[in-house]
Amino acid sequence: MSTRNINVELLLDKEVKDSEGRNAGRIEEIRARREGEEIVVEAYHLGPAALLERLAAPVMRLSLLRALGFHRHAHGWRVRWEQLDLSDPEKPVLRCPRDELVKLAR
Amino acid sequence: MKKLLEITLGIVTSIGGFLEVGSLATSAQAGAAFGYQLLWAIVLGTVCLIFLVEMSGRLAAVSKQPLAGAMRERFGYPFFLIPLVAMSLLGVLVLASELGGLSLALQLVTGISFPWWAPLGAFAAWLLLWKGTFSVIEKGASLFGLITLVFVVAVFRLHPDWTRAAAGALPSMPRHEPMRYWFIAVSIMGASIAPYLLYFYSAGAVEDKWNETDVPVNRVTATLGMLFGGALSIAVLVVAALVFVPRGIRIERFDQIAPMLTPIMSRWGFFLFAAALGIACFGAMLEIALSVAYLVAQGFGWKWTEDARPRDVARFSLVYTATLIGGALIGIVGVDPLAITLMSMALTSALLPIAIVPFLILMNDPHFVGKHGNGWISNTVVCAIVALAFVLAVVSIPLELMGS
Amino acid sequence: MDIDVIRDLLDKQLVDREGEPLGRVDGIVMAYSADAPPRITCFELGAQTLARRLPRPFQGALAWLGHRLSPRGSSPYRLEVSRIIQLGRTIKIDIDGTRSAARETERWVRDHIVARIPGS
Repeated sequence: MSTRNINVELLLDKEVKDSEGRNAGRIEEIRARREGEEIVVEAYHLGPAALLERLAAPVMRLSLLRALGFHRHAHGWRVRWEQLDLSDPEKPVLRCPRDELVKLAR
Repeated sequence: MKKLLEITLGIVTSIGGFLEVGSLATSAQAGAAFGYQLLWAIVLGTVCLIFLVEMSGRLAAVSKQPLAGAMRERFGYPFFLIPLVAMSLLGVLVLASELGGLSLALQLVTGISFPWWAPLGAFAAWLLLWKGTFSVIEKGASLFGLITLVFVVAVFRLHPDWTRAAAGALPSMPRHEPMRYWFIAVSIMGASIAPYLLYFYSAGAVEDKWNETDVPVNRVTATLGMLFGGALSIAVLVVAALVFVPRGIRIERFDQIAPMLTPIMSRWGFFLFAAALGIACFGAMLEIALSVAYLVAQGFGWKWTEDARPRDVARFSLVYTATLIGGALIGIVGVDPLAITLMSMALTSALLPIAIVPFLILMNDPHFVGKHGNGWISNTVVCAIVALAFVLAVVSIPLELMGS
Repeated sequence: MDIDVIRDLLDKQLVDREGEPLGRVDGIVMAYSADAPPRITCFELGAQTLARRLPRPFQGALAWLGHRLSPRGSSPYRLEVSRIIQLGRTIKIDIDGTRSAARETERWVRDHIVARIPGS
């Protein structure tokens, strides 16, 4: 299978569909690991919870917002690299139904 | 001794950023129209600014990152463009009003009304930035800036009624002309909480190589520096209240502010006013032009420093040059300086959330400030004052535009 | 070492081996194939990369401006991630910045504008 280059910053905010055509959330963060000289992608994080984690994590920890239960309404999923099909980077698709995704821990 | 010198950064930020044409014009107008009643706006603005300046210094000391760079890194380039464009345009507009103030000062001293004062003033500022270093600008501005203390001297000569003045420090509803009252209140807050000052101060802290041990000094520097600026603004308002109100003078034009000190110090007062105005505006011009250059260069990751030769920081030098040219062009076109000043200060209030909300998020983020994050007091105070300034601005700017 | 690519890499300050600024991480290139974990290969710098990140209506105008203003035309400049020396507050890359294409615009502005003004 051939390799192609994808610009990661353009994947940001792209809506992902699952194998049954349902919305699974937007790509907000990409988790990778550094192995020697290489940086290997492990998972994509989808949904508002991932966005909040990236932009406003400290604010979400404020006791006032927690007391209002605000953080519980934001949901997010972790997509392992092999679960996401990026053959068309404009239209990312899951290789599985969204129910199989793991919820992001908070 | 080193610590003492650091405090000059606070004072110079304050002179250049606080007592400039915006504060002078808005405070003088407030005093002339409403006596002591609008003192609260200066007090609120000063309190908010002390917190914000302290925060921007702390961010720079702990993360070694100036504010603009941290904003792009945290919120990404597309979002960063919004404050970048808003603050750069606002910077050019405010620069134009400083040029208006400087031109008036030169006109008062020489007696020559001259449309080319603005480009001349811009050229002088550019020359100083082109040839000078950060420390020359820092020390020069704080030394010459001491002349603005003349307003404090004037207050004591006038023996104001302190209890009535203190009553003005508490917000109250206007007794007459409510639209004008709120518009001036908004302009005062915009003049006090000038966001460009934060970019300047945090970049200055990086230029002066602060680290975590400077956090306590920074607290003192920010507080003393901004109290100094706030006290000067209060002094201007009090003098205006005592000089203009009994004579029934309303400030409709810029040059009407000029005789402010004349009844107290006669001919000397006239020249001291011109000198204080000119120096304050000139300092602010340097600070604004540098702030825009810091904002752009840090945002795009270019090399920036005011201490290198321009050819070694080419794009950075190009940005402050362009900013000064932009301000001078508006000055040549000859817009009414008082109108442009009041409007740019009110616009600052309206645009505050764009600059301040992301900043607050950064200041709570351990990635940037480690264990030196904001406490709940600073978060609450800044949020409340910025929200108040924003709401007042959104309501009063359209009314003012319709009225005029 | 775990890395959050967007939070920890994108838009970070890049410096050369002397610690002098090269620019910021304007874009990140990932090599993708369906049957192996994707790899982050390069950082991209340049007006073209920046223009693509904006909402569509702005893209055309900015790409045109970048094309006109950039001395090397439109192609973005790439730095390989294998040359990273240090990942921290800034990203240090093992190159000589004085000759790097990352500073081409800076050099152009210096030679064609700033150096022609007296006293620079």
